[in-house]
Amino acid sequence: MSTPDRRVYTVAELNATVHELLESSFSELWVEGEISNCKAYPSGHTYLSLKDEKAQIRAVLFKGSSFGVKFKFADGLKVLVRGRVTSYEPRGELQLVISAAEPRDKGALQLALEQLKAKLQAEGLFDESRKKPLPAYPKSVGVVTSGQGAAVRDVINVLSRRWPGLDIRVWPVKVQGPGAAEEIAAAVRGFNALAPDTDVLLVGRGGGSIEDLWAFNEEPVARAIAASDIPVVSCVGHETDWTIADFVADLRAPTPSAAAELVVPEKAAVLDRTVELEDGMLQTLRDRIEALARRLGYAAAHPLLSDPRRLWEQRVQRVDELAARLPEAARRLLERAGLRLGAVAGKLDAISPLKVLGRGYAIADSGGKILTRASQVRKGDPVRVRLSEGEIHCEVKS
Amino acid sequence: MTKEKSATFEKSLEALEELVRELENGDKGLEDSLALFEKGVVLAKDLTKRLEDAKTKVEALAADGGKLTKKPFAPKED
Repeated sequence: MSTPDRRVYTVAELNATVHELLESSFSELWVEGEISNCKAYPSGHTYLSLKDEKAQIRAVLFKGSSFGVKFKFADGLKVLVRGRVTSYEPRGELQLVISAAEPRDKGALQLALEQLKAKLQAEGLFDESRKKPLPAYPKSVGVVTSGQGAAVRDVINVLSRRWPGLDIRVWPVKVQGPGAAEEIAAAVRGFNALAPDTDVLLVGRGGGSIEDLWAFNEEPVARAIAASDIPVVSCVGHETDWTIADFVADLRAPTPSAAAELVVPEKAAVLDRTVELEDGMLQTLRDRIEALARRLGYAAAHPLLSDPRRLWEQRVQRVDELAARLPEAARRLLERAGLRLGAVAGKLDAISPLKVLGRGYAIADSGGKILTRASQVRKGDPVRVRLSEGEIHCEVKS
Repeated sequence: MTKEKSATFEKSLEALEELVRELENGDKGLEDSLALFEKGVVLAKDLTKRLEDAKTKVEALAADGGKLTKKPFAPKED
């Protein structure tokens, strides 16, 4: 049916009309919700979703209005925002332009996360001492992640490129949505129970929003990782935020491919090492033989071997040397004897009668005979009296 | 060599490293050193060969009623 007054809109016209309608029919209003998918751009604008249990709406905080928000927008934060309802015309998307915001209570998810984290930490599940070392050269690597998507492909590529010959065991699981946490936990337990010869486990997924990663924040996953005898590397594709799985795991990698790089050595590097060791052995051996050859050379070239005359030359020289030392030895001997003589003379001096005369005694003799008794002389005999200094000649009077 | 073949890659590499250390210590006689060297070269060749010949195996694991099932794994496209 032709209706001349039928108005056909282009999409742009329709979006423009809706835009106008929205802008004119709403004054500024307050909305309460939880922030999600929040992304701050270098331009200074922040894009986010506001959501509650039933619905969500895109929102933007332009740089010019950010002075009206005194805290940092982050996923999971419950907020009360003031804004105007409008649309983003090129995409016909409903949008809330925020002019001011106040934080509300923490978002339920975030709060739950913090509570679980505190509980597990108190149990010691994050302790460094619980962390198991990774094997240096694993033979088999278990992968718990989605069976489709880039993550598992990247992991397989990196592992087989770096360390060929691995036994890669993928246990495909649901990584988001209801039941994902239980599947992940069951796979970790499955490896431990059914394939305990697996050397190391990678547990994770590619990047996504905080909601997408949520399974890795849930208790069953944390418990399964903590209970694993096989070392676990967590790799939940999110550079900045740590999930609870990251805290419990023995090692955290920011992405699945980064985890793959961490768990296996690089073939080329190990080949180089082998060559290096082989060269080292060769060099050591060469050095050893050279050293032995040098020692042999020295020994063979030794004067004693090359010129045996040196053998008696040595002895002749020794005799000469001894002969030269003899006079000196004799001199020393005499010197020592002289010293002893002096000492004896000193002693003799101490007991000499001359010393006694010095104290006032005198020696009397007559005709060369020392007088010790008066009866030895008669009246008129000459007597010589020796004093300390000089002598007196006397005559016996009675 | 069968014994060394069955040793893990890590053990063989460690053995080679230990051997090189022993050689470097230099307290072995020439004959012993030569014997060590020969052993080392065999180990190094074996390690290299193992790396060169290695073929990666990718399997998908699942539990079926408490039993492990294995099948070749090929990642599906998104």
